[in-house]
Amino acid sequence: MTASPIGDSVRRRDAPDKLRGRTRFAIDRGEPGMLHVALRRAEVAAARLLRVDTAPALALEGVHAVVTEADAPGLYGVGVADHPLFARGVIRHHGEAIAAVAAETAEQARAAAAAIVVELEPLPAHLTMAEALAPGAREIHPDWRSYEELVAGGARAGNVAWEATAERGDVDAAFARSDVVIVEGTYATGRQNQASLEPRVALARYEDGRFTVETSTQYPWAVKAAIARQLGVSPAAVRITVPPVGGGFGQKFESSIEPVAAVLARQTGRPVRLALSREEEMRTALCRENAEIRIRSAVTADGEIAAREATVLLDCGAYGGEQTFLTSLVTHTLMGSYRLGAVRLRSRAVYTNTAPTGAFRACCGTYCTFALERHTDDICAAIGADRHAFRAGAVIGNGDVGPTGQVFEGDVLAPMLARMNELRERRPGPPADGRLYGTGVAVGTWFIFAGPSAATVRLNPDGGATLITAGVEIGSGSLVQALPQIVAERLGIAPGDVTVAAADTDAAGFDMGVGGGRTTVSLGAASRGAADEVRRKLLEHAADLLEAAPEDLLLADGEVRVAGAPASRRTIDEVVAHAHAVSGPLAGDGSFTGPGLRAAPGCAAGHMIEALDLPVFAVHECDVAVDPDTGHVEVLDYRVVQDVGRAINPRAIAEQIQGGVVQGLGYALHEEITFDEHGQVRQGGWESYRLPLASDALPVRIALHEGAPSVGPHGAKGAGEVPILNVAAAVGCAITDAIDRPMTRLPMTPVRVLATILGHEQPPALPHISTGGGR
Amino acid sequence: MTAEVLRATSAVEAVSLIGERGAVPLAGATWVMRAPLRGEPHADAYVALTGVDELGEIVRDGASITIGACVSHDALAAALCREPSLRGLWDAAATSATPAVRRMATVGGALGAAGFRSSDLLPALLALGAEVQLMPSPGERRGLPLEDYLRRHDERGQALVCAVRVPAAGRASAHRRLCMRRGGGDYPVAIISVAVSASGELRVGAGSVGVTPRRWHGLERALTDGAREPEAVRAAAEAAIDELEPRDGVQAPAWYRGHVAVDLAVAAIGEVS
Amino acid sequence: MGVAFVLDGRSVTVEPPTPLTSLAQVLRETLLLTGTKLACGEGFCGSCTVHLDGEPVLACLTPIALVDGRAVATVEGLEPDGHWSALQQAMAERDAVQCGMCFPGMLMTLTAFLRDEAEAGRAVTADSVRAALTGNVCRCTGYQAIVEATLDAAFDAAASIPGPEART
Repeated sequence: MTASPIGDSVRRRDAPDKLRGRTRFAIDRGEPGMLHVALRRAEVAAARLLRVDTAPALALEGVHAVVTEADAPGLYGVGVADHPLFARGVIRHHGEAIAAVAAETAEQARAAAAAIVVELEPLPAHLTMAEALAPGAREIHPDWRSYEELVAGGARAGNVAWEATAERGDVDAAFARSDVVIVEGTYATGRQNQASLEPRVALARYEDGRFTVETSTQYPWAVKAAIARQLGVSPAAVRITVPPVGGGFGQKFESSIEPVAAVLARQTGRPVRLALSREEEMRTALCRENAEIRIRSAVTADGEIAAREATVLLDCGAYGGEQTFLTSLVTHTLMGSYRLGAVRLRSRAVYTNTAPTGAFRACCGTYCTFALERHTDDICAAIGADRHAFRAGAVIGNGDVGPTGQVFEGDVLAPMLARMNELRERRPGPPADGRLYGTGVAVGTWFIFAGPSAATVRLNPDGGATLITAGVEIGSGSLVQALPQIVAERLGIAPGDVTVAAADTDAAGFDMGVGGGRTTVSLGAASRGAADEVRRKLLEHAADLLEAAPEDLLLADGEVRVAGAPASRRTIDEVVAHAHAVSGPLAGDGSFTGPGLRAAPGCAAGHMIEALDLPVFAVHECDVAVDPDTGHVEVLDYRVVQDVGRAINPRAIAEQIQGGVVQGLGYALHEEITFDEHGQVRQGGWESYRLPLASDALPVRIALHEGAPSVGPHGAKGAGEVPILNVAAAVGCAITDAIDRPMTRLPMTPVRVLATILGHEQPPALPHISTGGGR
Repeated sequence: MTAEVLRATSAVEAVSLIGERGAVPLAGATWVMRAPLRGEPHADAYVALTGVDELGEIVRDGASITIGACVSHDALAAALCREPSLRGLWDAAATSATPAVRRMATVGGALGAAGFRSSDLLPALLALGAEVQLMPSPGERRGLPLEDYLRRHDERGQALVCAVRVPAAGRASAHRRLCMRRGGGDYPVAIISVAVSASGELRVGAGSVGVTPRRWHGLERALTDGAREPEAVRAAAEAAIDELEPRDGVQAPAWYRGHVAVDLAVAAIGEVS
Repeated sequence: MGVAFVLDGRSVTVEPPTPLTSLAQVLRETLLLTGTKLACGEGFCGSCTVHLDGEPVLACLTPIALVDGRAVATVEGLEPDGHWSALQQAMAERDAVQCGMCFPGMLMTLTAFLRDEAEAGRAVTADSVRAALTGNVCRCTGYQAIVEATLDAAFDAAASIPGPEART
């Protein structure tokens, strides 16, 4: 009998065409008669929009339509519906779309977009959160009170788009204890551009009263809903299909450009393609947000954390977007990982006159973990504790209570730290060239965004199966590796005999998108459920044929056998033929959702995620050498112990870890986004936006931790999102160790490291945020 | 407005087209093709030099090496790998930008791209005392020290850059650059290139620190007496750093460029001393 | 203005929109050969790498006018006899691919690199592969599987023809 495909490093089925240049991503697709779109964008950060005259554009050769806010009446958002498709009366950020042109050629569209007459009256812009929160600051959304709340519970006021708070235990009493040391820190972290090689791109058609949009997205059902909402049409009138996606990393979890293509397709009756240029992606991508953090802890001499409190500001840019959701996750990451006596946290998404931010792999977790682990090292220094020993004693374990009152199951982080001690033994020694040497260790807590998923499995006459979901292959391999492995295991066939249908919202049931590490867990569980139903029906028919009880049957290697009677067997296609003769084709549906754990009463307000249905943990450690003359950091060795529950495809997981760590090194060390005085992102391309190259990367040493509790299929947890979580933390702790001065900002560019060494750069003052009862 | 690309098969023909049509020379095209990204319009006409064989040659005549304007960085590096006295220029050609850009971008392009602040070749050529060979009108040839050529960039008018001539023998040279990624691939934020003649004369070229590549005369003067111990070099470089007019830029602020330029100068001069 | 060149072994003539239209745009939009990617458009990602007269160049910075009379090879022409190259095979065996957008450029860069190193009799090392890849951005993989697959391919090539030790 063949081994189960679970735990097997099955190869990718999409590699051959990707290695021949034959895979056609959305950016590679088009249609005869297709029109091209160019956007007219704002060139100021804040202004009243007095007049938009599209007539000069419409008069130009090749132009078919120009649309503005009047053509897309709805407002959309995640927590709050605050975002129009096109600027409506006011410009809130540089690069904001004012109008869109569809023309025969891209050049004609660009020329027409430039010909649109826009009259503005500039307003003072808030380019920083400090400016937006200053007393009396102009409200970026004066109508914020009238916005529809899509999710209830967030506190909102003025330039605070959303506030989530968490409180457990008596924080003030703990800070007042005489036996505690109080350790405080401030941190400021920058934006990170997802920089997928494929930009955002969509091709829309309007036929028979319905929109069909082929797009590069991670979340087809969200695009369907967003188009319906913004255009004021029924979601049933929108169909989304998704070719292979050329990288997403979170940005494509949210609909952004698709409604523009859709409205122009309806207006023109022609296929319409909108593809953003790299410069547009650099200046308007839904980046990982910049953030400001003040944190303090009351710690006893023997390492008990009596209380921790923090205030975190997330810059959501001009619109609330994902950050209204992410405020919840600040609680679970910044206040996670350690046993805490009492907890108080305020997490605010703040409007500024900058491009809206969004989701990026492990989102706010990256900087919360950076701040938490730098703070943890400060605690160790304050009480004279060893950094490893302190963590081993202080991390949460079985029965410990999380920040919102949930009780964690299983000892996971402590054995992972022990495993890290083993990995450390084989590290290379310090360099003997005058550079400063340091080591950093970081623990981290993240979660699997379980959420609802549907799957259908059909068993075909040839004995193979078809898996139908709204999941998309964004490069992580879940759709082409883990999911067919899970279905194949149930049906006793090879993973290669499971056809995986491309996402099509007309064919597949609801799914909450490929992101949040949820694909293998949620789509995996739904797929397993669907396959189980098929398996049950298959065995019933086989029992009929073989004159045996279903429970006596074995299903493997493409055939059904009777246990103990090897001669009694039928191939799956024979059983399918039998089914066709007596009852019809075999199919099954599966569905899954997370258990939806709630916070303990009174512990959390404004949280879209009150407790972690499925926590996932990681331990990272690295050694660095810092050039004291230039501030250049070399990562000498990088080690990861990751909680994977159960590894469905160990090699694919290792590849996710390698890739996530290198992306994290970019975030930690050189990917930098800054704004000019007009509120425009200064890094307009990859000449100045410093992505990690092959010569910046190193082989990551990896150990997978299996056996932690999980609701996922076979006990699996998502493995693709968490690898980036701890990287800036581990590197920041290592640099701090090396230079003996605190790193408090991201990214830790050579400029910033040298400034810290020279004493030019101090921790951020953040006078506009306090941890206590103040603002 | 559609640009026109004319073809030349000789330098004389190219100069004629420059004069008659206002054509701009086009060789590796890596700078010209990015004009729209810089918000610059394309010229009305370009003259492609890729068919002009005489501009693609590297000629040694004992005392000097003449490098044709259409020689790529890659080809230059390959030709110089056995020229120990031109080690600095070799480093500049072999490490600039990325491998693919080095195969495309040319010596003439480095001279012609007036707005490009981070050229590796120019500081290296300045340190070596290179001379630019120009053809101002068909058939006429004129040599101009590179330093003068850069200073009078705006006045070069219709002259075609045919080659640069570099004194080849009896020197030690070194090139030091600092990118913001360890492995490079981005434009350096500071470049220092140095050469010392047999008689001990030191020349220093600096790039990317300020807005244009330039000789670092103040540092050269401070070190004329031959005391080139690292601490002496550091003190002299720190004292003379303002001459380079360090600039604030997206990649690094002025103070950082100035700071690391000093370190690069110490390292480069240390290598040739 | 017609531009005639040899593309993956076949003669083609195109009428580009302008002489400065990039080779990448002509390949993708005129010839509908979308294997060559165009991710950054300014020479810093390498996803548009093709061979021009056998040398890897950035198709986004190559004006079509300069391609006249020359030979272009793209990822679509990497297996003219229908067989994968050792490099493609090694990439598949290492499961190196993720989203796949960078691989056409990676393959064109590395194919020429392996050829040049073999011709020069130089050993291929992880460091030399990384240096050759400076300018080819991959946002997914963290490069390690790509580097290892390239070493595998170099090792296989060295094993099949007597030559210097290819793997260190």
